[in-house]
Amino acid sequence: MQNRATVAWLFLFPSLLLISAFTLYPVIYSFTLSFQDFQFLTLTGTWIGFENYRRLFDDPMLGRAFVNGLLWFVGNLIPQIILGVGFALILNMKFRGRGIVRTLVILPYFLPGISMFLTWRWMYYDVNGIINHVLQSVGLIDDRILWINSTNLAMMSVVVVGVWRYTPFVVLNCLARLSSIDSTLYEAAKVDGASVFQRFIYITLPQLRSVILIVVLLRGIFTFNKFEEINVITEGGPLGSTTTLPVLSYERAFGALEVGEGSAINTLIFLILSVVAVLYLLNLKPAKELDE
Amino acid sequence: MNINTKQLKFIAGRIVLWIVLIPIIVYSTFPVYWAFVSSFKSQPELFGNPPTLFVENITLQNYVDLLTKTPAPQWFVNSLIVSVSATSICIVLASFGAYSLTRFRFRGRYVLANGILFVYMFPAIMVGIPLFFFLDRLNLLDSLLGLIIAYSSITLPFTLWLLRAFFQSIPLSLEEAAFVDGATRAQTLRIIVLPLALPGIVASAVFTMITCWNEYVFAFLFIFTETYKTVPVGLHSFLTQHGNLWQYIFPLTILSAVPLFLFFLYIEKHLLETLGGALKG
Repeated sequence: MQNRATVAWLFLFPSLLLISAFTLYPVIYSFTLSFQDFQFLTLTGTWIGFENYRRLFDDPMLGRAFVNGLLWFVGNLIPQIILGVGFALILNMKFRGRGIVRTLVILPYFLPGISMFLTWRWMYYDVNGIINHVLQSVGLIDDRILWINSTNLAMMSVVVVGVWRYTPFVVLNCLARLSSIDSTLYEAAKVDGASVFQRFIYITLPQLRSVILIVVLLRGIFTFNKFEEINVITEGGPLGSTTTLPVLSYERAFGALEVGEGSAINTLIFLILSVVAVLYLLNLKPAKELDE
Repeated sequence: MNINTKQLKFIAGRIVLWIVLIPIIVYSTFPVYWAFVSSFKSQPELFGNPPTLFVENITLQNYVDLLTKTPAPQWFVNSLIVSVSATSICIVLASFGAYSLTRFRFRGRYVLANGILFVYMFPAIMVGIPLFFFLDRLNLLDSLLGLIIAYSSITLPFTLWLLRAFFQSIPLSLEEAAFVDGATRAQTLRIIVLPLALPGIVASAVFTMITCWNEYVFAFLFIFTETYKTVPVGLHSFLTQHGNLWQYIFPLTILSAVPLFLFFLYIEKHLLETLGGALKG
């Protein structure tokens, strides 16, 4: 038995080594950097205790980034869940051409991200962007709207892109669950005289409940982490109106060359993430679930 | 009469269904359509106002210019080198790891599996900033090798998790029967497990390829030399201080989507079966 455990760890060792060296170690290194005044050019640091954290909490930008992050989070999550579940229910119906429609609806999630974000940026252009042009043509707006160049609308505009790209994630997960519902359940209910509506309420919804819980947690974490669409479409602007915590962390470390402050933000991100991740792992026990 | 109303009801239902479906399809596909038509527009048409919904004069000039006047071909080669290398490393290591997690009952395997899942939730920017200085110390900054190692590491948790699910779906009884017949572990692995796991391994490899092909944050942070850039970072670098080179962005968008689209068609059939609940993005 001793021997088997050795083999087991031997098989895992290369993976664990690579993950430890290039993912775990950097995160630990980031903790230590957050207590240092680190010089970008000389790559040397001096220990300054909690100075980075103190400066960070004195900075009004941190609060703004937190609020922006909350807007980004809620604005993404709620439409993604509603649209995702809705699309999944429709795509679970039987109709001709369903396969192709499914492919087209899932496609945004699998397209090259940066090029699609750039395309959205082009569509949002105020002068000859297609969105303003269409809205003007149908008479919904009179003046051109500054979608990504106004502090009021920029966040909403990037949120729309996030919803567009990541709703298919919810659709996929819900479809996977819907297609695994035992069809005899529906037939039995039909025999007992349940209406379409009742069948939906008493069979479909309870089956979807667990998958929605998982999707909310996972999408929540991934949304909170997002950096690239904001960096490509608005670069955190205008005037910091789309700066979320990951964007602020990047700006501090590589824009202002305040590596210590950037690292302190990373610590905050890690703490928030850990709370959600622990909730997820404790409540859903994903490792054991797959085993059974 | 009865059949007629039933048919009528059916047809009305279909019409309502498609009235709902068509906006959903347009919403999902319009940006792709827009990048596609924009790539074939001449520069006056592309930058003209108002924008044209269809191409008036189809031209391939943007594609020709992209391939001859910019480093885009080099970026393609770089993306290919990095994606294929990182995927190969990741898949080999993850296959051993996933086999171990599913076929050995050792203490701590649940904690380990959960720990791996936790690592896979780390934001790229949180890992990327400190990794920048670590790679610098290892002399791996601004090099494809550094990117390959970083990609193998960040894709491992997800691929391990995915392969673990695939290995779990292979019934143990086959292997137990082989053991009873006197097969060694190596023989069982080669004759039973590997052939059965192969479709899962290939699907995971394709998935890892997609992740690497699309990866932006690390490449954006770690690469500065023009000729070492990958496609996503190269695309972004067309937004310059002297103006945005949209005439190059759209052809490169279409060209870089072709391999992804082929990958997508390949794994699509696996999506609903095995990948549900295990995706990242």
